[in-house]
Amino acid sequence: MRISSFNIYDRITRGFQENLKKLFISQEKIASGKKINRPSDDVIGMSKVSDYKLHINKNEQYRRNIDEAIVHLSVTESTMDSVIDNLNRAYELALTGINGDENAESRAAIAKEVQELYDQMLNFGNSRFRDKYIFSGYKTDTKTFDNNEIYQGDNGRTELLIDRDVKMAINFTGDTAFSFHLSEEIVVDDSEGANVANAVNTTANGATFETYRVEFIAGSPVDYEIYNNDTGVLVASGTYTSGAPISFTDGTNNIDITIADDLGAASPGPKVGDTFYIAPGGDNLNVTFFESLDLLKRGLNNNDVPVSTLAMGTFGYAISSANNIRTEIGAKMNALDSHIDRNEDNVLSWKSTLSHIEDADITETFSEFTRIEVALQALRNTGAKILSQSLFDFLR
Amino acid sequence: MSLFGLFDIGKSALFASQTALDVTSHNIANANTPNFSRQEAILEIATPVSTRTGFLGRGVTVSSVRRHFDRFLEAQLLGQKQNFGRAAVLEDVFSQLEEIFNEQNGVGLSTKLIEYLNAWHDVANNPQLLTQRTALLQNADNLVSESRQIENWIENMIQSIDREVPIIIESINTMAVEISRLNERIAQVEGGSPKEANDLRDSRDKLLSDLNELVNIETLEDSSGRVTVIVGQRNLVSGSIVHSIAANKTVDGQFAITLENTDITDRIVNGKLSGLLDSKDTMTNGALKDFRRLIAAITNEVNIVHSRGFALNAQITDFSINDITGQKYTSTQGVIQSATITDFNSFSPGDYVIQFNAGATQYDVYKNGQLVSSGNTYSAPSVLTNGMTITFSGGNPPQGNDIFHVSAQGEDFFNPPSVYTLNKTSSNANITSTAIFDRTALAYDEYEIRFTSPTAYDVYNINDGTTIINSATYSSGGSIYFDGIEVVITNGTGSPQNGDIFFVSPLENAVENFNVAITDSDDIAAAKTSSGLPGDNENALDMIGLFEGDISLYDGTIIGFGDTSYSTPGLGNATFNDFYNGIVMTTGTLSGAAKDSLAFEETLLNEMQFKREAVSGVNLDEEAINLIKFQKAYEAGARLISITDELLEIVLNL
Repeated sequence: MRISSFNIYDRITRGFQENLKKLFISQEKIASGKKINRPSDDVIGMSKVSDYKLHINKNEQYRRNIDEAIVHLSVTESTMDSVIDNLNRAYELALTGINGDENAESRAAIAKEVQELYDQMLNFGNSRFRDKYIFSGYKTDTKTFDNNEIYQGDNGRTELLIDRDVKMAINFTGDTAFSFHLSEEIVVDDSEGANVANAVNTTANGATFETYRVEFIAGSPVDYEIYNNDTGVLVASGTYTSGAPISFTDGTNNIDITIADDLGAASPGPKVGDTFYIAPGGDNLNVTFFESLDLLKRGLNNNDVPVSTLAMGTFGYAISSANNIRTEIGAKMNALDSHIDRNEDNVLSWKSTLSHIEDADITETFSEFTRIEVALQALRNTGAKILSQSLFDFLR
Repeated sequence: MSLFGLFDIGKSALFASQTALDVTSHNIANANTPNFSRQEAILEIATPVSTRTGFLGRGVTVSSVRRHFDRFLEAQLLGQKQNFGRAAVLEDVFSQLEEIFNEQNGVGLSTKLIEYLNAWHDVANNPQLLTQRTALLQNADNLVSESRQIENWIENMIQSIDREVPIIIESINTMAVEISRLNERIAQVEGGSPKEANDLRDSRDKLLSDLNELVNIETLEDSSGRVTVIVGQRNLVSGSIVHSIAANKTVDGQFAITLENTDITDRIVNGKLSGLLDSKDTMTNGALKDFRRLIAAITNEVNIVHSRGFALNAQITDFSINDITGQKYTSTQGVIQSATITDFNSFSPGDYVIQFNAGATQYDVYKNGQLVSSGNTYSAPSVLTNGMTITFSGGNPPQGNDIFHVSAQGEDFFNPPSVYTLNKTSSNANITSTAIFDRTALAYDEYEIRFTSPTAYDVYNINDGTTIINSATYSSGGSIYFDGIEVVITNGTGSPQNGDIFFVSPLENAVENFNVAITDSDDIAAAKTSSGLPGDNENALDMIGLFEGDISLYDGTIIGFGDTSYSTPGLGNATFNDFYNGIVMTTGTLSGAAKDSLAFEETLLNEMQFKREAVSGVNLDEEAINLIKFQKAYEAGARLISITDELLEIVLNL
């Protein structure tokens, strides 16, 4: 083949271009630390890069959502801890208050402390975090309990997305966190030959927590009178029929009380002078912690041991209800912890895969760079030799 | 045979050597001239004379100066120039386009989209807090400005192509004129003789080669050496006559290339010009349209979800109820007289479909495509559902199997998309109004309303190439409904004619109109119930679901009832991020393919150029040898004359 001067110059120029281009690309990889610097470098790789970056970014947001949930739940948790302490203290005070050694004066003193517990409980109920009432459901701008301790919130549970398709409610509403379900009656039995088999508030809607005093007053068969302990109002009276339940209505409440004979007694059946103090239970009866504390306070203030005893009975339910909430929070926290672990594991593994796809192997890139450099040097040497040769140099 | 004959031989030797030296010098002088073909003086034995002793040589003559030229190689090279010209433009354009979407450099929409989504997460976490809401609006603004920036970049690229095309057309015309001039001179110089006008031909070949890089041409050479240059089956140059090529823009902004009054746009298939036309087309109908489709989908779907929620300060007046029964259900006979919100606490915005049973005594209610209550007894004249009272006209009560659609909407997050129209060909009629009457049915496609006669039209979906309305009857000022869009065409100077085309697009202005409609962060609707304010975050969770592709805005299956067929909205099954990544990958693939193809065409071109230069190129060493060769021959010729002179001296001195 014939070679023209153009062929020689052209080949050398092109050789320089090719090598410089490779050097440039290699240098770009070193400068950015990435082997994919634009989609066309590796379209499939780039689509994975976008995908992983999206996953990482989303998971980092889920992680922030988890942190948010943890903060909310922690605040609720510490509040519930205080609530439980408060209830335990109230129980202790009730225990002290019903002791026979106490008198009206000392009971009134204890009632003062109960009043403090009550105020404290109201503060817990109206807890705020970041300017919102945490127990008000969705109505976070509304004070949870008004001055009459009536719940003002709704039953909204704010759910946070803590992972793709995983939602977790992070709030508890005041009507569940500060009340308990009184399913069974509490009774103080001041009788010889009878006891209360059951006392049920059958009202489905609007059942309220009330305590009653059932007095068997005179006659045979014996007559009874029933008083509301709070108002002192006589709500029912009649002649007792053995085995038949005593039914009466007080406000919205429909109460059925069944008295049973104590078969082990010397003479079974209610007698004149027998008295029962009863807090009826019910399937739809919720009692707030405030009502419990209020009952105790009134009992102690009135030097009324039976009523105080009824109040003391409610604290067992209250403490167990508050503990349930506390346990539920604990379970949520545990779940969040395991979500954090998984979230971090995922992000870590995505990041390492991402790095594997898009990051340049620096050692490899450097050796590539050196290789091109050597080739370029060789080209310069040979080019210089070829270009400097011409027959004209020898013609004199 | 006389001694004087020796002078003639010597003279011929001197003359031949001198000519050869001339040619050699010309070669040396043009060693670096592009497209120069090295020349060679062809020496021939002069016609011998017959003598008694036989034929006697009469020296040397120069028969011609030939250029070393391989017609086959040259033709291949010209074709390759076209390929190279096209590949170079495509690589240039697509590598720029790719940089617009280069996520690796931190540009592109992906980051903005995810930041916007994350801002909704933060609002969902604390729906009552101002900081998070303000941050969401800020992120929405960022999304808007980045989108506009991207559209701007693509449009700038298209505009620079628009500026480049006329320049190329101008160059083609200038070259055509020069080729025609050279044609004439070559014809004059060669005058039909077999001797070629070497240098003129080299100049013309250079022009043809450059022209080939711009546009695909074919050439024919006639017997007198003139070439005819053909572009798209039309003559650009025919001997000395030049027809100018022209590029004009059509109403829709596309180029129409004409030559000899014929549109040859479709026949421009190679060279720079085709590269420019094709890359413009790819950008307009590919990246730009896809990007607009994405933004239209984001705008519309975010609005749909947002307007189904309640803002912090939501009031009854923030909501509107639109009756779109007439646009959708042509067989429905009953008429809704009024639809109002009568119980704000139980009101829940959304798209409601009320379907009556065969006896029109009971009705089912669908909300956002889901059956929410069935078998309700109808007590005339009203239907009470979800806090709304829908009262039917006394004169047109609901009939059996009637279906009604009311859309209850709150405030939009973004300015809603609008419909762009273009009268492509009609000189008589015009589009007088457009609206999006059902945004849940919007398909993010583009359409043409094509008239087949003054009274009939088809509606053609440009994206999937289907005719969605076939041969409907046209009446001036009547509404045309398709895919949630309403278009009204009205006669102007007369009825539309067969072949009239109107272009309808909900995408064209999607990015231009893209803007955040909300200014007060309290207006962000995070709640799904008015009673749940401010802690209700369920609408914000729905918004996240929209971005994750988890919620369906409308289940297209229940609204058909064989009445009108609607396509389901959305971007197929892709989430916004998926769809955007699709655009990025497409630009990457385009750019990658263009790079590969350029590298290939360049290598091929170089190889051919190398071969051409091997035949036609000047080798300076070779020319140096020729110099010595002909110098020595000249010296010897001169010696011959000197010796002849001495011989004559001897004879004269006898």
